[in-house]
Amino acid sequence: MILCAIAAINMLIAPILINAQVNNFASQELTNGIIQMITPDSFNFDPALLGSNTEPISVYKYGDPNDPNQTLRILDGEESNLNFRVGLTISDFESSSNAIPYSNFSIASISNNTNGVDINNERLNPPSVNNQIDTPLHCNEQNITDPTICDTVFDTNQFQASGTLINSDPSIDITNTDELIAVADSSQYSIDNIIAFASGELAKITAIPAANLIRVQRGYSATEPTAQTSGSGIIITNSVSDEITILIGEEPTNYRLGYYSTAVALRGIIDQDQEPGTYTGTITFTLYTCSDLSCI
Amino acid sequence: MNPKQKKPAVLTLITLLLTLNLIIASNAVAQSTTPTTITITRNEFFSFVQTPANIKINHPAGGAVDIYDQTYFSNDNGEYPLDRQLIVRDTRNCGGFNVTLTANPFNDVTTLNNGLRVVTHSQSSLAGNEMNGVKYIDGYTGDQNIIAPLNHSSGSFAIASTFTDPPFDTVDNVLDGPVDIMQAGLTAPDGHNGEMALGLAYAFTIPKYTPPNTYFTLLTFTLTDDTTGTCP
Repeated sequence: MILCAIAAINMLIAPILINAQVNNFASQELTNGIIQMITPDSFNFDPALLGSNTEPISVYKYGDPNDPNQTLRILDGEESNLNFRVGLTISDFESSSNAIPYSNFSIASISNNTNGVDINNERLNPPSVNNQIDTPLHCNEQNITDPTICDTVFDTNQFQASGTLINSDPSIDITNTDELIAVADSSQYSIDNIIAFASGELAKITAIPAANLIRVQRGYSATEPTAQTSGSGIIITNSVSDEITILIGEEPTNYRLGYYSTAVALRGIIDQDQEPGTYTGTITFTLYTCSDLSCI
Repeated sequence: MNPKQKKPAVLTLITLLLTLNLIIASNAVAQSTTPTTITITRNEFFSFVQTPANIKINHPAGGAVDIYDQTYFSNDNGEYPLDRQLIVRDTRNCGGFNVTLTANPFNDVTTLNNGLRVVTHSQSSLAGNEMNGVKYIDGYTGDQNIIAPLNHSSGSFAIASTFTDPPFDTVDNVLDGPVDIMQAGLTAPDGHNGEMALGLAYAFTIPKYTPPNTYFTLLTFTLTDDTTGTCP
């Protein structure tokens, strides 16, 4: 058995730091007339070790701005008037029997360059100092010596959940062991929906056996199952988070042409009573392009 | 019909197709997904309770380290902060363990690691029994013969000799490779039952002519089971 923990030590010599802007990416081929997106490869956190404390732990994963496989890349080969925006959603992290809600996760972006995006192509027409690409999640740190260094950005960019509250459910009291729950109208539910009881406990719908019954897997979150009072309310949460915008590229007057990238960073908050296991979630990047301002 | 008369109609059709293509391209949505995973483990009986907090050393404003080496200390204020304590919990009540510490190369400048030294101590406000440089926190029962090879029992942690004089002239406390922090191996059925702590202090000598930059390393503490024999 081997358990590891890390700390960081850093040494600062002189107040002026090196602000490196690298151009070491392999050249990418732009396609005339269109804007393309290439997303990071798999994005795995280091193993998180829960101990005997009661405080939640924070886990971090920073993509490397120097590694093309860990960055979100925009190939802008469009020379006329297309604007673009990249939005990002995330799913719950699920194991075989438990979940970490996506609302426990936050996002930031980092780059080698203080503008929030790196320029990585010789065929460029950067129109202004910042390429006119806004990076609303940008954490202006070039050396991630301490994983908490972007916490200010993470604190304000938590993935938000939205859903539907059904006040009348459950329709009769349930115990902390009930898995078959009476509801007013089961047609409002779908198999695999994640629902939340008033106590905060999450459950997953596994079957809908009748018009007023749903079968759920109790204790799907770290919160232990508890009894629920009739009509206390069930929230059906969306299976993915609300979208957060990571890049906004309004086409400048004299157009933008080139290969731009930024790295993605995630922070997760893990409760100490989270069930050990391997949890997998999915980040979905969506590229919107438009010739007017409707998509940005 | 004369073929020449068809040409305008074909051209018109092509024009329409191009227009349609532009409409599609100008209001497009493309999606891509990236899988992400977290593995969570827990061991309530054998784990770190706390690893020391991050350390930052600032060379004063004024530029590079020039013609003299400079040495800085993590504990130069004479305090022994609780967040720089390493605390291990072992309630298995059978068997032992070891703790080692390694440091990554500083920004790939491996020579800087030659100047990073560590010592340990048992000075803290934690309540418990102090024995050979280890604090056995109140409630602990079991073996109290843990060896802390880098223990420096007294004196200042803000002078270089603390980190270089005997026994550290022969005992390796330079973080250019792994160093032993706790040697607590046991033969079953002997064991530990509770929490054990010690503090860490660092000295960092920056070689002359080191260019200005922010240098950093990651310190990794590794807790390893070291049990001889079989526990029930």
